[in-house]
Amino acid sequence: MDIFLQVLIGAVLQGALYTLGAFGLSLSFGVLKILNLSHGDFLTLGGFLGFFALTYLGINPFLSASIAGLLGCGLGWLFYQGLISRIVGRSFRQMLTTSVMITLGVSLIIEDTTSFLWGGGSTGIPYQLSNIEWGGVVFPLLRVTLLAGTVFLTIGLHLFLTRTYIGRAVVAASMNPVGATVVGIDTRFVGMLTFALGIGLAAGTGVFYATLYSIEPFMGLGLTLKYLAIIIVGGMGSLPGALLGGFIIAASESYTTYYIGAQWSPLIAFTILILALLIRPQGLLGKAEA
Amino acid sequence: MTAKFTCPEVRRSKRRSGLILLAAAMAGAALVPVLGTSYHISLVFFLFISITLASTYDILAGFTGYLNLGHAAFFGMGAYVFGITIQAGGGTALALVLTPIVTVIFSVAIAYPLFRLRGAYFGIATFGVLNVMGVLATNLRDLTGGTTGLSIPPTVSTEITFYMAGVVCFAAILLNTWIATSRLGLGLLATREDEEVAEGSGIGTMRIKIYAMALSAVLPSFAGAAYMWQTTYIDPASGFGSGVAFAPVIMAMLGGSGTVIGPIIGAIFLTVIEEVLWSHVGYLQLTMYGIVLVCVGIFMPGGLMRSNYFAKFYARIGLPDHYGYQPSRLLRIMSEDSK
Amino acid sequence: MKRRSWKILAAVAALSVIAMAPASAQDVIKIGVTAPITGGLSSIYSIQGKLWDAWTQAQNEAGGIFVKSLNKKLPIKIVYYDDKSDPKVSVKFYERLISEDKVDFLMGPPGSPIAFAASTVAERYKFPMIHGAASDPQIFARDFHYIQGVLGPATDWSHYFFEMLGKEGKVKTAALVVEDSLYSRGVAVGVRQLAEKNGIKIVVDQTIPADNQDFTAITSQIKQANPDLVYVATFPPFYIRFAKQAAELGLHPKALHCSTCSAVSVRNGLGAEANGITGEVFWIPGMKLGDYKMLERALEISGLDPVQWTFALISIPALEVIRVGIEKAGTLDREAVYAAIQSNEIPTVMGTFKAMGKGIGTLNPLPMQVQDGKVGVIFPPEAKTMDYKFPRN
Repeated sequence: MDIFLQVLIGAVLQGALYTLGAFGLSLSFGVLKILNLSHGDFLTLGGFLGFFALTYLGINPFLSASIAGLLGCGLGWLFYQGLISRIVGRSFRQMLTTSVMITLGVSLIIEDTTSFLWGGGSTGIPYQLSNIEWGGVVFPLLRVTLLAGTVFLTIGLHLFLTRTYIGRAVVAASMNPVGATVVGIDTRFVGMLTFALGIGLAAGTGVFYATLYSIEPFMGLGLTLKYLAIIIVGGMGSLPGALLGGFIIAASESYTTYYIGAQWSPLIAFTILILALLIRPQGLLGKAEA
Repeated sequence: MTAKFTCPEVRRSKRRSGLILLAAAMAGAALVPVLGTSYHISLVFFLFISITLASTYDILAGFTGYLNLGHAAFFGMGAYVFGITIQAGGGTALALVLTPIVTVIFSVAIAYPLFRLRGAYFGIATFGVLNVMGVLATNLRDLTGGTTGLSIPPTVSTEITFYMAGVVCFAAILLNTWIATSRLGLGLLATREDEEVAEGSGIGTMRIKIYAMALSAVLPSFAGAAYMWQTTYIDPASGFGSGVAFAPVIMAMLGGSGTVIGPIIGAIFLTVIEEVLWSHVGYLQLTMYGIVLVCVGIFMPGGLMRSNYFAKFYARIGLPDHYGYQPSRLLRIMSEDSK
Repeated sequence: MKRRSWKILAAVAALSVIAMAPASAQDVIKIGVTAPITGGLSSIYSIQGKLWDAWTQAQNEAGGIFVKSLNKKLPIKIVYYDDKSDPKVSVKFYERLISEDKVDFLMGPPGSPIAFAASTVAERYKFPMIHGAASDPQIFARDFHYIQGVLGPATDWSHYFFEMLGKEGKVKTAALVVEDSLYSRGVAVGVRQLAEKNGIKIVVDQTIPADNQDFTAITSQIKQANPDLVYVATFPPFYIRFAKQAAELGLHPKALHCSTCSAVSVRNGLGAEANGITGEVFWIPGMKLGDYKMLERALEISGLDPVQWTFALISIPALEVIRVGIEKAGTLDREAVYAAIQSNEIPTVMGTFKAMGKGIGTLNPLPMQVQDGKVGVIFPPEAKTMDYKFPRN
């Protein structure tokens, strides 16, 4: 029972990190219908920023996450202006293929340039917080803080999307872009904002990712694909869905690792993805396709 | 039922020049082992495989609009089935027979459930299938060798595998041409433009989609077998990894998805760029690759073949117009013909 | 219409010829190789090209290699390509090295899966290939005659470490965590045998996918079993994740060993937790074997840290072996040089190389430990620079 709980706690905490990473992707895909394959690379960039911040400036990860987040938003805004804005107006099928090409291209550029400048090798942010032990189960404080932060962020984003004008504009634009324009919402601005926000979230998450795990220049694409699986399972464009999806994937991976064997856990994640797509394509909490 | 359709855009004279070009290319390719070095053989061998994968990928992607991001699974399966059969002592002939059979059965099996999905979801699901195959290849160690990989003794000369890959490649080109000018292709194009309307017009969309998927699976499996025969080593990353998965997609998109020539041009273009870049420039090759992708995505969204920048050039050198890119005329013809 | 088709064909042909123009022949000794400078294995090999350039520079500064048949010293040039950690690309480039660049000798690519595929090319063209960092026994179990590795088999990877543990007798139980990759599995096979030979019982034995993120389950398992030693057969990215989470969850084994950890990246990622970790390293400054001055000069030119890039350094003995082979054979004829390599004992910076049959070599890494930020070799007695500290804190 002890182990069961420990694995469960681990899964919840892992899920929090997955969710943070997936939020940004959910936003940009939900609103803009753009598959941003370079999402994971902004996460890596954030991680490197956090690493340098701690090593050379002594800034702790929580602070550097916020900085990374803001810088990420700025980068995302530039990304949008420079590249995405040129393809937004096109037909849906064309947008799918071109967004894949462009974002894949950007992903390669970021990964390769980072590897070239960094000189290779993997690293992580060496930052430790103490743990809480309670009834034989260990709660790593860093992760608990992260979980709290994620829940806080989810509530905050949810309030933003339902209570503020801009937030509701974002939701409107994701449901029906033409209708949104008709009622006076500047969909271009909304799209830009969402995209920038998504990238900023990725960068911020990257700092935490580097603190908990390791980062290296070429890991971005694999991460993006995993987050894609999460938002599909949970529901595209739905933030609570990303939370749910993150938890489900994390739990199934952890339990598979413990009870069946670690080598089968990637299979579980993809099987869940495929089943989710077949049974309920809009995800558990997503809205049905118009 | 017996009348074979020719796409209206394809005037006979232009079609003939296309065939002449193809014949010339085949002759040129056949001469490579004679005139070139082993490096040229290797280069063109991999080019053949790339063209095969890109063209067969485009059977689904270009004609039906369904992006099968897991297309590389057929290649990986081909390589593994071939290798496993040989390792089990089955002999080359049996291996070459089993490879397409197993792969086609697999393709039909996944087609049934997956074709209920549309658009991006289909793409993601097929990519998921590819990864599942990769995980299976890694974990079923006794069958596939897992991460250690599968190895067979090098028994065949590079010339034979070269010609095998060449035959497969030209078969893929001819297959695409045939589909483009057949009723099947017409049905697929109709499905792409509006599936409900096509279904309503009497096209069994599910049936022809599965048929197209099966067709697109045969040749990559042979390509995989040729690759395994030549390199004698396969592991999950080489057979089912992201590199193998995205390359045909990029090539098809780059060249122009939905045209017969597009994937070929895309494959050749990328292969040439890779060779020129990677042989003469030391660093940042992937960055340049990425820049190429971004530029094509922004400035030439339909691919090189549909680019307005080159349209005049294409007209002057007499390349046929892109097949089947004007659906409304095709649909009209289709309904005229129905009983 | 016909004329236009010929025009296209001519253009394409011209382009291809230009693209494939080979480099012009020169009066140098050319050694051909590919390396995973980008891609999945780049975390340990991304600077490989830089190291080779530096070594070539150091070698040519000293005048080059003496070839008796030409009665002069010739400079070396290492022709290398980036294989992007992809066996297909490596195979293609090796074909190019043989037929276009017309190199004199081949080195094997670092990375076992890549080496697996590339060695087939060498065997097919009967072109001798000296392997550096690719030691999985399966590569050499195929009865190929033209490949020779400098490393001992992967299964012998930690034999010094376990010998030391056996002598000290303080470690009785161990947990074995293996990353699912060709090389790590090979090491693990050896670890199981070595542990048994030295009286250590393995209480946990798990193989985990290379990109696994969550180690809660395995850590819980290990905590329950409470072994003296935790042995992780893996590469740095996996190890950093594991060690961080293990520390988080309160797993502090008395001895923690990683088969490839290089102190710098481990230290970067783990901070204070890295104290007392043991691993294997091929070469550290202070070792005075083989042509160490050349290596030190190369490291000086390139500014690389030998401990962090310990894997990339393995190709240096391969180069030394080729050089001595040329000197002993007195000619650039491949067969003669290869025969000389097979029949001589050759001193290298990492120990004495001797061809052990079937392409296996004799070089092995030495166990090292991180103590208070410093790295030292802990065994065998004749090579060690610091004492092994157990338990680690």
